[in-house]
Amino acid sequence: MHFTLGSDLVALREHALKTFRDAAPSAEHSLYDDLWAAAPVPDDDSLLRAALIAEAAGASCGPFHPGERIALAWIAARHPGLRPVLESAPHVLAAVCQGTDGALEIRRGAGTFAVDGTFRVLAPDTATAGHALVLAAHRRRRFLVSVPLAGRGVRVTSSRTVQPDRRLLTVTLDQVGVPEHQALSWDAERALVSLGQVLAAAELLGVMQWTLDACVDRARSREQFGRPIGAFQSVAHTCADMLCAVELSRSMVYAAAARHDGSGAPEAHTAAVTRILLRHESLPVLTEAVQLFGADGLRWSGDLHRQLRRCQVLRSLWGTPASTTDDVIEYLRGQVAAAAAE
Amino acid sequence: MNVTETPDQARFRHELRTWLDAHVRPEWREPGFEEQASVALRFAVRRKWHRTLATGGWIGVEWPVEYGGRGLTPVHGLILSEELARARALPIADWVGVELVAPTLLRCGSHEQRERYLPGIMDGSQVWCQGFSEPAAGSDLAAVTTVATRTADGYRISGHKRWTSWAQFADFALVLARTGDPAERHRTLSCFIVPLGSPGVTIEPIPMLYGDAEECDLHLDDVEVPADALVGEENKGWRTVMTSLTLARGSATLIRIAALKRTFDGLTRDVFAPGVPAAGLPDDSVLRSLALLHARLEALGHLARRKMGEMEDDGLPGQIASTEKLLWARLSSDIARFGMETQDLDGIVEPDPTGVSTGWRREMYRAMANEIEGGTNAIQRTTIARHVLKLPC
Repeated sequence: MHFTLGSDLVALREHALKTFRDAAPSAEHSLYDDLWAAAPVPDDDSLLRAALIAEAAGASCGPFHPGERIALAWIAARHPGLRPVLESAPHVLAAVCQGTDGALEIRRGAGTFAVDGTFRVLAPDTATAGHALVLAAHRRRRFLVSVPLAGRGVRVTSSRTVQPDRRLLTVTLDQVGVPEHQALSWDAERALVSLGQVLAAAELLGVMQWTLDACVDRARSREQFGRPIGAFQSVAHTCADMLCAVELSRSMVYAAAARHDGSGAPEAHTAAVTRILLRHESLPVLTEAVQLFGADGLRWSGDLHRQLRRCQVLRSLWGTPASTTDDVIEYLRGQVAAAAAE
Repeated sequence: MNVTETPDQARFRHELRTWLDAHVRPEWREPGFEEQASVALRFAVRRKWHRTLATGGWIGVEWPVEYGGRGLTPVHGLILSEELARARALPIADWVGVELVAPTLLRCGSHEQRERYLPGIMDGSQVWCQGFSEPAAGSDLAAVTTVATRTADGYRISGHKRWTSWAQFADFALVLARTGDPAERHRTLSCFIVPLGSPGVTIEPIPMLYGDAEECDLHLDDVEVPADALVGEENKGWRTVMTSLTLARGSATLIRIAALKRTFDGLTRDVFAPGVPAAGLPDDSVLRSLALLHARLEALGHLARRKMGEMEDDGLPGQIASTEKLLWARLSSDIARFGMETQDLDGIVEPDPTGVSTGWRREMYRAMANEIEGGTNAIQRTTIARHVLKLPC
């Protein structure tokens, strides 16, 4: 056992951060595409590498959404049958908003499936997403289905989100026909959501670290009453609390990502705990930062509000807070029952 | 980063677990077992357990072989802490000796001091306390006024130490004293080994909020010590003390987290008592708070492991260690307050006629002490801001 990052992993995080800061789209793809090129094996560091890339994206302050991209690459690697479908058209991933609760109903026809229901999905604002990959259910079987986001039987309501580069689409499907090859059996929806929870947490960690760094720079350089504001105990203690939040969160994210189930997905309970922790620790860091920056923190031209918005979005993804809490409570009840049985 | 145990580490865990299963007493696992005992009885039971552990070879596993240790790594120390917690073993009596004094002597003491004192620390025959704080030198430890004056044979020490835990049962104190101009603050401090049976030593237990008296006042009136009682160099005591505190933090929080885990398990047992149907559970907001406490506790455990990784890399804990004490103290307080909130009027009943608090109220009072001892929350924040974040405060 060793609990610190090796030099190769630190270098990966630095390389990813530089790539995101340089904002070269092709280079960004290279980060994701290599991740699952080889099938994960137990004890490898594939998930940790994915988390470090997501962290770097969060710390870059750029318009990158690695969690969804990495999850799509993971699906393609796990289910080669989906690869041609995913490569035929750009997809967005509905599980980001669906969690494990919102599977659509599908019915089998002659060579096709008919899909009904409503789901929500985040889509880039700059381009029209052609398809969404949604979780669906037929009797007791689960499927991943590629559905079109335009055409007959498809109704889409688009809403702006707090992140200017992303829109929230509410999609209603009314007996939309999907060829059978676009609906593939899928038994890993929980693993997918767990993966997404840890990647979103890692990106939040990057956002928190960026915010802490910005606050410390500000506390050292901004002078009021003839001295740096970091000389005032209230400001210094605020920064100290932020460091505590960042390091506690980093410890949880790295621990959750350091071990996977053999497929590259984290253990479900650890992922739920990680989501709960980061959801709780992240937002106060951002809101305290706005206070520390004063009115400068409210400027549209600054980066702080962009990170605040990113934080708000990331906290909302991959399942409802209630469902995540339920998972943890069930775990704790199980622990008590097991101890009583002993 | 690799969270998988090596075969050697797995063997160590298995050997330890088997040994603990045979030696940990079942009654220790009963809620409130230690609360029901007086301070003296609690110390006696813990001392016996210390000796049992030493007989099994589980004290000082990281110490060098030449001083009776097993020469193992910080990760083995981590496994030891985890397994002691899992077995719900009691703390040992001489925590200060094992976790604070011994690592300090190994790093800063002389060969003679190590040969003389480490065997007694290991087998529990000699118990230590820490004489750093004073009535007017708490958070500002460099304001120590206890004075050590050179004599023909060594030093004469006079002063008043406070919050010396378990001093009434201890054989030695590690004392921080002034050996030069007080205006020079931390540059004129030295560290001494003081036998507590020496003439001029008076110890007074201090009853605390929770009814116990583990803490003591230690009065030193012209106490003579030999020259070889000095640990490290004269006027370099600050460095010795900082090393001591840093090394103690290396393993201390693992032990504290293990204890906190036991407290949290008690909380979940209260909330999810077997047989309680889902409809009988607290409302959602309470369950959300409980899930969050669990998440913070899990994360704190992982933070402690990262710190152990840093110690393996560099020999000393890095910046993570500075956050650990503050995070632990706040979490212990939040868990105890949550426990208090689960109680109704029963929570204000004081069943012990001597005023010794029990149950969640005791946990809450103890947690308040956690946020003060070893550096208040405010001091921890200032230390982080100044020394880690390099802010000009």
